[in-house]
Amino acid sequence: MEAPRPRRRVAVALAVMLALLAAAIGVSRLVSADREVAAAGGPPETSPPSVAPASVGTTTTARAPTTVPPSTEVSVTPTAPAVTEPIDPPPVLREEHPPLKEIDGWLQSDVTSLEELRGKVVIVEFWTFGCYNCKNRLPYTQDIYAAYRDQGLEIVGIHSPEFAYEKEVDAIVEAMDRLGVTWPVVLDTDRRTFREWQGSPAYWPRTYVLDRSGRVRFDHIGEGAYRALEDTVVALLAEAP
Amino acid sequence: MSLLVEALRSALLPCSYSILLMALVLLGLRKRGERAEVLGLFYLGTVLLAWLPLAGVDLMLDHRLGGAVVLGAGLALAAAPFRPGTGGAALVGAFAGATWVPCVGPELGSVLTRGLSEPAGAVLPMALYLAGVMVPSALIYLLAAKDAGSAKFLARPRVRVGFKVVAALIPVAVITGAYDRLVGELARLSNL
Repeated sequence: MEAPRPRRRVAVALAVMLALLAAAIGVSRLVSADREVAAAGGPPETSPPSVAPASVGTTTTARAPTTVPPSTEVSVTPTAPAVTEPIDPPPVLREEHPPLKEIDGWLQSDVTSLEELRGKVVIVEFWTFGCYNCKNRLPYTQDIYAAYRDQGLEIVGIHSPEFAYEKEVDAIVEAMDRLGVTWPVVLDTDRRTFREWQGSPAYWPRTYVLDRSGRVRFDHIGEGAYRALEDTVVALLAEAP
Repeated sequence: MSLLVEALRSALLPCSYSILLMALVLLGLRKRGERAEVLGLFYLGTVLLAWLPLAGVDLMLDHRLGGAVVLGAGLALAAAPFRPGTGGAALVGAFAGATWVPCVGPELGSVLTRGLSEPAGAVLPMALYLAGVMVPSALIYLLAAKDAGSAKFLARPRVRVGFKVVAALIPVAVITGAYDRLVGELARLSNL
């Protein structure tokens, strides 16, 4: 006897969704297995890192910036400036980084353009203070800043608000203090730089690394790829200016 | 599986509220026997439009006018009394997918990063992720389908009219920017 039509439709819809889920789970396993490799610019995880990851195997406490509350202190491995093993150079993803387009200024910065940071390795991080995943990235960013700042690393946070309440400068400054953001921040209120760099689709957070010549050598969307990021920074710091 | 777990976690965060809202309105607009189909079409539309930009196709649905037109057409179809009106759910899903700002955790981040260079490889992982995001919508669907009280409530003429009024207001909210502000306020409250 034929099943009632609505029930049959439900069964077919559920079967299709289950089949899709089953196929997708298989794919996601493949993706998960090598997700760190998927981070463009990151060396393969199989190659031994030249230094221990900053957020793993902690033995000492980082020198906390004066504006960071004690609760946000993070532990890092002691700085290891000497690169003792050769590291595969991260690929050049773009010969020249896109410009900062129609920005509204800089916060806690001595420079007013990325060009002034030539000669340094620069992590450019698109974020907004209300973004859940951006906040999850911050402890790792603080770790890497504490570990490599003295060796020529700079971080530039590009604050591109997602919602209206994130556009207020006072709120941004308060959030930077509360979250322990001690690096220079660019105000990208109308998200023009956000679009200029990422095009469509554009995401929060997104992390790029520029080498000493301003070339883009790393690009990752969202949380994660922390090991690949650090390996890239180490490799680029080791490159001749 | 970790991608699905991450999706389930993000289903409870504000970044997923817009998808949940659209799914709820669609479920309220159609009759009991059509809701599974509506949810499935909505899901397919969401996956497609969330993925297409990775493949270099930007349909500009995140712009107010284009978004309001597609969303309005989808909701009007979904509210129509004739049977093929369920197809409007795909258009509403397209709007939801195009305007979705995901919580990009480590797993989805890897999928999206890889998708920039290999868009085809991102389709199934994104479908899986969005299936996880839509779990609350599916649970509400099941509740409405299995629970006699919920089904009776949704079948009330006043409730059905209420859903139609909300459906008519959403495109207006999109075009005036109120929809963006609403989503922003939900995000702000959730971050307190």
